Amino acid sequence: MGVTITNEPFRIRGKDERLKVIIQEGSNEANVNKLVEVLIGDGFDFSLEADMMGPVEEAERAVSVGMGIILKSNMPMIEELAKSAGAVLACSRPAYERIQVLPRERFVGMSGVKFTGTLYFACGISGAPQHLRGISKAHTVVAINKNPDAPIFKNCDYGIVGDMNEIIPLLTAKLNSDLPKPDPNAKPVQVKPEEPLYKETKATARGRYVCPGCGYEYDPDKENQTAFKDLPDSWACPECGVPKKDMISAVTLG
Amino acid sequence: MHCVRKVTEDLYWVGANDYRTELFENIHPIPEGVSYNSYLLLDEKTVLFDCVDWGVCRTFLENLEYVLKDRPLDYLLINHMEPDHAASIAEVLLRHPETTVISNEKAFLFMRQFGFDVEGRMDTVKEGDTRCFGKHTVTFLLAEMVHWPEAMVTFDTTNGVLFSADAFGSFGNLGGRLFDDEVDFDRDWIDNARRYFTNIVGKYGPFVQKLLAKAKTAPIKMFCPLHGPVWRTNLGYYIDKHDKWSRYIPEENGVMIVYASMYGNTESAAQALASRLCDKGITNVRVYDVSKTHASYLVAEAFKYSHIILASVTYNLNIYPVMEDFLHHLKVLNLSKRVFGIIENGSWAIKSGTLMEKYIDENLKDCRIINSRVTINSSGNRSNEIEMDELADAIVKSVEEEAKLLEAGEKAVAEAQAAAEQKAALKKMSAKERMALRMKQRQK
Ligand SMILES: Cc1cc2nc3c(=O)[nH]c(=O)nc-3n(C[C@H](O)[C@H](O)[C@H](O)COP(=O)(O)O)c2cc1C
Ligand SMILES: [Fe+2]
Ligand SMILES: [Fe+2]
Repeated sequence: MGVTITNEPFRIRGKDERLKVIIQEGSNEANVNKLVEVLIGDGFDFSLEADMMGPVEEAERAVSVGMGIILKSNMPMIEELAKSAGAVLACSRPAYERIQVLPRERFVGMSGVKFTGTLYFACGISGAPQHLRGISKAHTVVAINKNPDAPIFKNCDYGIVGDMNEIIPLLTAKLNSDLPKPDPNAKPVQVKPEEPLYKETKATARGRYVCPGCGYEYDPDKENQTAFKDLPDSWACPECGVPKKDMISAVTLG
Repeated sequence: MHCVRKVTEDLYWVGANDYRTELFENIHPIPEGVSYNSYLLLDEKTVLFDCVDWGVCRTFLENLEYVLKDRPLDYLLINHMEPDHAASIAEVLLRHPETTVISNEKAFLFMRQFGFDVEGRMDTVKEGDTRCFGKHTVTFLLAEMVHWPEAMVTFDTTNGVLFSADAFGSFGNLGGRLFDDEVDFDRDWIDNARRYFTNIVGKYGPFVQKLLAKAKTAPIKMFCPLHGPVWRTNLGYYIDKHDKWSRYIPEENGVMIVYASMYGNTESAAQALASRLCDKGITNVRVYDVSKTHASYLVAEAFKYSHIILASVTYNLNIYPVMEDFLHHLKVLNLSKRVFGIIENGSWAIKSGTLMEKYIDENLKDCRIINSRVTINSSGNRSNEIEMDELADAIVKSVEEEAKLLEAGEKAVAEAQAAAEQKAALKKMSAKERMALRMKQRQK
C-alpha cells in the first residue's frame, strides 16, 4: 500500500464550500511561500512520506496533473513534487487519454477513480465537471493553472495563477527546505465532523391535516407557512368543502 | 349451482370468487383472484349486507335466492359504494321491489350518481344510529376515507360481528375456506393482504387509525370484510398488522433493494450490495428489478421493510421512468418513515441519484436518506468498491440503530395507546365505579 500519512484530521467539505482563496503575493516565489505557509498553518506536515504509486482511491494526498504539463517527458518534475509532498501520482482524464502520463487506474474523475484524501494538488487541470466529480470529497484542493478563468479556481481552496512548469519546481524546493513542523494544537485543519449517517427529508406529516371528505392534505409549507390552527374558522377544504373542524391530523404514532 | 357458507347460526356468506379479472381496479394484478363478500342475515327481517362486482353477479344472485328461499328481502344495507361491491345493487333492487335500502347520506348520493334508482326506498342512517331486525340490533360507525368518503362499518351488537367494508380485506380467492382459522394466513395470505391494504387504503393511514380507535371501544368478535377471509379467531394478529401499516411502521427491520438497469451494470451493483449485506450479517434482504415487478408488489414490500435502497440508471437526464413511477406510487400511497439509500448510474451526465434524493426529500414524509451514495459511471470500478463498502457499512449501522428505535418507539406507542384506552374507559364509568377503582389502585 505504501500510504504512510494517516494522522491528518479529515474534514468533509463539498465542492460548493471550498475556500476559493487566490494567493496573490506578487512573484511566483512569494505565492509558493505563502501557499506552503498556509498549508502548514492548516496542519499539514510535509516531513511525512508516501509511496507515490499507491492507489489513488486510498491515498491521503495526491499530486495530479492535467494537460498543462504539455509533454509526458515533463513528468519527472511532477514526481519530484509528489515525493516531497508525501503524495501519490494522479492525473486528469485528458492527460491519461491523450498523452498517457499515467496508467488508467490513476486518472481521477467521474469515470475514473475518486480521490477522497486530505490534500489534492491540481496542476494544470482546468476543472471540468467530470473531473470535479472525482474530487468532491477531497479535503483541501490546491490549484495551479495559468488561466485565471479556469473553473478549477472556483472549486479549489487555494489557488495560484501561473505557469505550472515554473511554479512546481519552486514548490518542490520549498517543500524540501527546512520547514517548521506544524503545531497540531495551534491551528489544526478543521476537526473532522463525523459525517452524519442520514439526511432527514423536508417532507413531514407534522403540521399537515387531511380531509375526511376527499383525502385532501393541507400542507403549511405550500400555504406561506400558515399553521392549520391559524386558518379562519370559515376555512373549508378547497376540494370538497368539508369544514375546518372536521379535518384530522396527518400525524400517525411512532 | 349455489355456493354459500354459514358464518353464524343465522348469517350466511353469499358472495362470489373472481378468478377472471386480470387487474383489480384495472391496475393491480390479481393472479390469485379476489372474493367479493356479501352476507345475508336471516332474522325476523332479512338483511343483505353489501353486494358484489358486476362480473360475478349471476353467482351472487343464485346464492342470495338459495339462502333466502321464498322469504322477501326486507333490507339491503350498503356500507361501501365502490362498484366492486355496489355494481349489483340495481339488479337486486329490480328483483326485490320489497327491499328498503339502508345507508348513509353520502352513499345515497353516490347511488344516484352511479344511476341506481333508490327513490322512495331509502332509510338514511348516521353514525351511532341503530336498527333492530328482530334478535339482532346493529349500529353504524362512519369509516370516512377508509377507501372512499362514504364508507361506513356496521356493528351487530347482538353477536359482535363487524361488517367492516374494505377494512380488514385481502386479495385472493377463498376457494371454499372462509374463516381465518381454516387457512394458514401468515403463510398463504399475508402477502395478498398487505398488497391489498397498502395499494388500496395505504394513503389513508390517519383515517384507518381513527377507525381502529373507534373499533377498540366495541366488543368485536368477528370481522366480516368485503374481500378475503372472515376473522373469528385471531383478530389481534390482523389488527396489529393494520395498526402498523396505517402508522407506516415497518413490519420488519430489513432491506429492500430495487434496481432499474438497462444493460445490467446497475443490476450487478444491486446484487453486489445485497451480497455484501448478507456477508455482514444482514440477511433480511430482498432484491427487485423495477422493470419486472408490478408496482403494487413493490409498494407492499416497501411497507413491509424498514430500508429501501434505490439503484437507478440516468435516462435522458432523468430518473429511469419505471423507477420514477415506483417513487410516484410511494408518494401517492403516503409511504413514510423509511430509510433510503441511493445507487446511481449514468454514462455521460449522472443525474438519477440527485433526482431520486430530491424526490424523496420533497415527497416522502419523515424519511431519512443515507449520506453514503454510490455513483457509477457505466460500470463499477475500484472507487465504486470503496463506495459500496461504505454504503453497506452505513446500512448495517442503520439497521442496528433502527432495531433499537423501532423497539423503543413501539413501546412508547403501546403505552400511549394503553393510557388513552384507560382514559376512555374511565370516562364511561359512573362516578361510583371510578371511585371504587381509585380506592383499589390506592390499596395496591
Ligand atoms: C434512452 C437512454 C437515455 C440515457 N440517458 C442518459 C443520461 O441522460 N445521462 C447519462 O449519464 N446516461 C444516460 N444513458 C446511459 C445509461 O444510463 C448508462 O448506459 C448506464 O450507465 C448503464 O447502466 P446499466 O448497465 O445498469 O443499464 C441513457 C441511456 C438510454 C438508453
Ligand atoms: Fe373500496
Ligand atoms: Fe372493495
